[in-house]
Amino acid sequence: MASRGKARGAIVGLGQSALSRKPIGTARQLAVAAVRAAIADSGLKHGEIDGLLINRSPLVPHDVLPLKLQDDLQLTKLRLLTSIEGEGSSAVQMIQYAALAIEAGMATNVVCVFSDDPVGVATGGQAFSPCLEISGIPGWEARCGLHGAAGAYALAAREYLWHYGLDDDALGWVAVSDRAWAQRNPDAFLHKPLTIDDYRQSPWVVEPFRVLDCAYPVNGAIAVVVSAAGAAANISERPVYLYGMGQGHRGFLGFATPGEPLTGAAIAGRGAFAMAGASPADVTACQFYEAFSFTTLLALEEYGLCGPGEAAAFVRSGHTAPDGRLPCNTGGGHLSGFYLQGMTPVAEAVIQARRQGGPRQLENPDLMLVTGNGGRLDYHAALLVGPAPSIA
Amino acid sequence: MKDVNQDVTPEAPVDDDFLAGLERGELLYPRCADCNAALPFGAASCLHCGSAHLKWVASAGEGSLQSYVIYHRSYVPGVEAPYAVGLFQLEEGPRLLARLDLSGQDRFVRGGEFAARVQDGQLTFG
Ligand SMILES: [Zn+2]
Repeated sequence: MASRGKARGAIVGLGQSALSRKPIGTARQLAVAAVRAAIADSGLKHGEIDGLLINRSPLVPHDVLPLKLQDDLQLTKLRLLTSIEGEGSSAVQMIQYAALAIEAGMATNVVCVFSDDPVGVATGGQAFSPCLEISGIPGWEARCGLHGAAGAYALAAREYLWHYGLDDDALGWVAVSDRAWAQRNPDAFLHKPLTIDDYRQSPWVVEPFRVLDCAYPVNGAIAVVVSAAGAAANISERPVYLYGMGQGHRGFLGFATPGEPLTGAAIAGRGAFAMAGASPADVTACQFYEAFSFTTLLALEEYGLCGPGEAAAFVRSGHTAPDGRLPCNTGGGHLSGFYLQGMTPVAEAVIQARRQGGPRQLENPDLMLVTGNGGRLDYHAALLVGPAPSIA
Repeated sequence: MKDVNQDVTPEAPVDDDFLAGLERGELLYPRCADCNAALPFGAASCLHCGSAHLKWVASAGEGSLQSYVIYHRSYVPGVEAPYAVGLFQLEEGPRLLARLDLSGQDRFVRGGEFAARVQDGQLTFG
């Protein structure tokens, strides 16, 4: 068994493009800006980058963010280059593969980038309407009218609420908790105070989801630079160390088989905690992939931070909010911060571990769980990260 | 022991058979042709014995409601919002996504019993 909390790699640079609700450039242009910012932040020279991993939105075609990004960036000495296909779990997966490749000697400093420009001149349904395949019958979702990721997730959310006998407010308290964090984050997009009554007035999107249950999409890109744990302190003043990494892929099969993990998140969590030699009780904060409020509830349970069916009461009691015992989504998350898929939680974890969170800075960012979630609860990846070379 | 690698190609694309059944007014679901286990929609081989020989059989059309959602804006041509989509557990076992008739209903409960109606190739539980 690995020694407790020995780092397997480190994030030594974080950079982003402008983030906006208006068109500000193509995803490819924004990716260049984020990569350049991340390399500058790391203090590494351009020529010291020898790996590039790319994550595009699963809703766009491959050529929106092609391997030719390498040429745009004039990264001419790459030893590692690929585009990761894990949908919403890709950002976390990129960091995992970067750390593994570095450990294996295939690369030294790997930049990982996500970029997307979903918000057009006419915003709204465009990014919403594609169907997620959940029925097993090709094309059937569209014939049933189960459009959008929201529809597929809402179906899982209703099953969850029914299974544990919860009312719809269970979802709303996640939105309230996220908003409380966003109010302390000047870079979050939604700052207005939010009460559970405000939530109940929010328009339906797909019942049981209201507008406030859904991620807030923006145009922009975020990149990180991953290096060896042993080299990190010589590169960056405040490296963020990676103690545990795991993936799990299973789909959401409902509650028919008691005792089985509901989703791959439980499998991803076990892997990450085993690698780190840590347990869920050691986690001091969580940055979840929560394209919809429901996924925060499910992640709290699947990753072992709450018992089955207990997450709703936990969130309602304020434990995930500022001054709570397990701060979650501390930049406002996907719901009130901004939705740049898997890079939203990754970036917030880096900011917190570096103690650059300003008014939202956590007292104890020592062991943070960072998650990715793709498909309809199909693809999961998790990291355990913190500011010290080994878990305190 | 059976060679699970023989004939791994299903005899016809599953969706074609399912949709053709609806066109004839029949609701079909997949079973293993070797061990007769009921299989989830979309399975290309048997979970139990590994066989790739699947068959489609007629369902009695009785399903219990496992979940549902209501769209308050229509994404289906010719269908007015609000409309509902449900997840049904067929009495034979498999879970099936289908339209859920909202008319005359204001409240749904878990496990509620519904009957399939197939009309003009469209499937609705009500
Ligand atoms: Zn069989």
